[in-house]
This record gives sequence, structure tokens and C-alpha cells, in this order.
Amino acid sequence: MTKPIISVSNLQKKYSVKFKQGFWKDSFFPKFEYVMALKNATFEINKGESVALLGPNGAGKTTTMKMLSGLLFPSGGSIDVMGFFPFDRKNTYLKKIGLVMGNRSGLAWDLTANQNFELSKKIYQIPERTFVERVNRLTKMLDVDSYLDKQVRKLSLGERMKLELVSSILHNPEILYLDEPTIGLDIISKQRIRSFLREIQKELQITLLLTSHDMDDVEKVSDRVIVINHGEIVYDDSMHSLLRNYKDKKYLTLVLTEEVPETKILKYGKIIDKKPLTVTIEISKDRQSEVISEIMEALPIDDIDIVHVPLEEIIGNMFTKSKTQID
Amino acid sequence: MKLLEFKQEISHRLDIFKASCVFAFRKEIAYSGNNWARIISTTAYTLSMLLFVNIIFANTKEIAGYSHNEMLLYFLLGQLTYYTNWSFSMNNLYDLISDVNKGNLDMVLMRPVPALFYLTTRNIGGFNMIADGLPPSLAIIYAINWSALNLDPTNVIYGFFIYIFGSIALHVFQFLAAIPVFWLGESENIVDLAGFIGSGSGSMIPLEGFSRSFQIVFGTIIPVLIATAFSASAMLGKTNSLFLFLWAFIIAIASIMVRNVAWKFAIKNYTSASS
Repeated sequence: MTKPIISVSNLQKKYSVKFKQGFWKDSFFPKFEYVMALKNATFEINKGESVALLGPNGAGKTTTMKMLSGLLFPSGGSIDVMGFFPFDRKNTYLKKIGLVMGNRSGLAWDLTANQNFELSKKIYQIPERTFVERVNRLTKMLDVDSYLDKQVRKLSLGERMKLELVSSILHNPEILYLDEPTIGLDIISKQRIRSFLREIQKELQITLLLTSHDMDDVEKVSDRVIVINHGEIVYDDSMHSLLRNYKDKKYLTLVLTEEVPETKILKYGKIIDKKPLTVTIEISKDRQSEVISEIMEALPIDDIDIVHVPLEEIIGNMFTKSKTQID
Repeated sequence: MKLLEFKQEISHRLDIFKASCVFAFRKEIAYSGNNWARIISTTAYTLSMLLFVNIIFANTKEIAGYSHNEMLLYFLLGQLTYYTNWSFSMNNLYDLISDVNKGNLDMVLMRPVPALFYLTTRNIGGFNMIADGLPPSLAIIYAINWSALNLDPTNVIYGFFIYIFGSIALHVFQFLAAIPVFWLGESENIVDLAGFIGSGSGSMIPLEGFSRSFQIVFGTIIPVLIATAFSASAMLGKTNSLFLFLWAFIIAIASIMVRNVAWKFAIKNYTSASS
């Protein structure tokens, strides 16, 4: 059995947060309270895996990623990434990883992408030929080769994000940490980035660790899902298993020609969403054809759409369940 | 083996330093229209200071034992301290504060470079230092009557090294003023204060104008007198230059050690701005 590329055991992170007491007390007698951002997280990731870290805001997923990348010093537990303790930030370790943060910029705004890449070439000691070949190939893959000589601050968010991605993998990292890489992007840019990530993962055997609130990112890019809530891991399994757990359920979206009372719809399934002329209900997959024919006869139907339970709903349910357990 | 590793490390740092200088130079000249205003402002300031010194010395022959000519040399060293301090230290510290405050330090720390070295040398383009510093410095150099100055070459060499050691100590003093950003989230005003004390008021009064206790305090714990006042005093032979050299050397070494300890402590407590 191969050794995991990332191995985390009982990882903890405690933050001290300033306790608000008013101007004078805050200035001269500040008080701090401790918040546990991550509690005893344990998991392993193998080489070439693509893993999504999911959780609501403040759940601890970015904190986990920052400890794995070496930005934060853990308060407890152990981390081993490719044989390194990340916080040591050894050059040999940093050369093997890449980090992309959707709301941070690694590129200097006043310069062009090419000038930024030149600095990376020196820092990562990339040979000239390899550098030119990689820049050409990666920028072509993301369709941003024509923006290389444009000042970064004059690029659109999508163009900049794609170039950030290129910059973060120019040195051919073994692990790529992605924190909300598609935040704020339009659908076309999102799709391009998702397929790019899949391609480099397969082609270069890069291990991807992703956090995102966009479930399409997660579904398209990741094979495995780790769900964190209130600093604790509440789920860790493959994307396939996660979806399989919900495969016996379907969502029917009914487009009606006139308004229908809720009571008439409830007998076919649980109402998930309701607008005046559109209702989404949850049904069992086994009864799908039976329910549809009953609905067609009994309700004024204009159109019916059948979809599997969206990942967003699945994860949402998981958060609610884990919150109820904690409460 | 260790010597080879040391050589490789030095060579790597030099490569990074060169690449950072080119990068910073490109940033400095990215907005050509913005550069000229500072040149005019620093030149105007220097000319007004020259006028001020002339007016003062029209009414007195000496200040703190310095003649008009010696005071101009002192003033020249003060100006050089100011420009080098801004270019080598303050610009990098303001960038560090901004990066910690906005969370961009995350991206910097991910680079496979010695972090402290990179963060304190990444913004030395040289263009602003030369463009801002050269015209006013030339004006002072022209105003000094060099043949009337009693400059011993040995003292000048000691003075030069004292100036370098003093600049290091001054940088560390300002660096320590920047470090609270890791806990407070902002420390720009504290660095402003350190900058004002250091390259501003620290270059206003010659060493001989201070009492012994102030010389000790401002030459050790708050080392703002070394770069300008100590070096001027040594160059002009007013105080034993070897004694000042050793003093400055010890303070510079101690400062570097304090800087390393402070950095390790700060980075361990770095919480990173939330994203």
C-alpha cells in the first residue's frame, strides 16, 4: 500500500479573538477569548486524488488548508505532507506545492503577467526552455495567451484568475491547494477552470485539495468529499458514495398552467420549493413513473423536469444534521 | 559540505535579490508620470534646508562643536540616511504591513525563498532612491567646501562602516515597530513614528549635541543616532572612530539577532486574514 501524500491526525487550531469591551478597556486592558476553529481532524489523502473540503462559512476548511500549506502553526495534532511538517516551510516543500486563493492575488497589479512569471521563474529556478514551454502550454489551455503582456490590474477577474492558476502551477507542483478558485467568476470562466483542473490532475498527477461553496466546482473537480462543520469532520467519503446515498430520491419540477393548493401536491411528495406556477417535490425513484402519470392526470401540468438531488441539497442536509447533533 | 551549502544559500539569495530588484524597478517605472513630483519635492526640501543652515550660521560660528562646513557634511549624511532608509527599509515594511493586513502575506509565504530575507529586500528598485536622492545630494556636495574639511581617510572608512551598521540597526528598530501588525492587524502609524524618530529627528542634531545618557539610549535601545550622528562624528574625528565602529558593529549584530527572534515569534502567531 502506498504512503498517503497528506496525513493529518487530531489536527487542532485555536484562535485568540479580541473580546470587545469598549474603546478604553480595549486600548489598555484588552481581553482575548479562544475559539476552536478545528477540533481533532484526522484524514489521509493519496497522490493524485482530488478532494473537496466543504463546510459553511467559518467551519474550519480554510484554516485546515492554511495549516496544510504551512501558513498557520497548528495548536495541536500532527501533519505530514510528503514527509514535511508544512509550517517549517522548507524550500523543498514549497517547491512541491501551489496555492490559489480566489480572493487573494499572487500577481503584482502594476506589472504584466509575463513580468510576474519571470519572477516566479527565478524564485523556483525553472530552466528557460521549460519555462517558455510551460507558459505557452498552460496559457493556451486556459485561453489567456493573448493577455500575457497586459498589466494585471487591467485584466478582468476571469482572465486574472486564470493567470493566477497558471502562475501557481508553473513550477509543476505535486499538490495544488485551491481556496474558492472560481469565486465571483462567470459561468464560462468557471467551466474553463474546472475542466483545466481536471486535465492537469489527470495529465500531471497533481493532488488537488479544493474548498468551494460552488457545488458545481466540487462535483466537476473532486472525487472525494470531506465535510467540516463547527471545526469537526462530519463526512469523509467518495463523491460517488455521497451521491449514491441519495440515488433513490428524485426531484420533480412541475410547471403548472394555473395555481394549485398545496394540499393537492403534498400527497405526491415533500415540497422542496414553491413558486406560484412552479413547484419542486421530492419523490422516491422507485415510484417515479407511477407518480408522474398520476400527476399528469390530476394536475394542470405544462411541463415536468426530473433531476437527481442536487449536491447543494445533500451537503445542506448534512450541515443541518450535524448542527442538530451538536445542539 | 556545510561550506558548499552555505555558498549555495548565498548564491540563491543573491539571485532572488537581483530578481526582486529588477521586479521592484519595473514597478517603480510602471507609472512614469508619477515619479517626477517626488524629485521636485525632495530637491525643494534640500534647498530650503541649505538656506536654513546658511541663515543659522550667519549668526553663529559653531553648533555643538560643528562649523558650517561640518554641519553641511552632517546634513549630507542625514540625507543619505533618509534615502537609503526609505528605499531599503521603510518601503519594504509598509508592504509587509499591508500584506499582513490584507492577507496577501499568504501568497508571499508560499514562495520557496527565505521569507524574512525576501520580505525585507523585495522592494529595492533603486530608481526612486537615485532619482529622488541624487539631485538634492549633489546640491549639498556642491555646497560643501571639501578642502576645508579635516577628513582622515581611516576615519572616513570607519565612518562608512558605521553608517552601514547604523542603517541596519535603524532598519531593525523600524522592523520591530512594524511587527505588532501580526497581533493588532495594523501598525502603519507605529512605523511612521519609528521612521520619524529614525531618519527624521535622528538626523537633526549631531552626536556632540546630546548628553551622555541620551547618547547611550539613542545609540543602543533606540539606535537612531548611529547612521548619521555616529558616522559624522567618526569621519570628522570628533570621537574615537574605532570606539564608535565597535559600538555600531555590536549594536548591528545584536539588532539582527533580535530581528530574527521577533520574526520567528511573529510568524508563529500569524493568523492570516480570513478569506
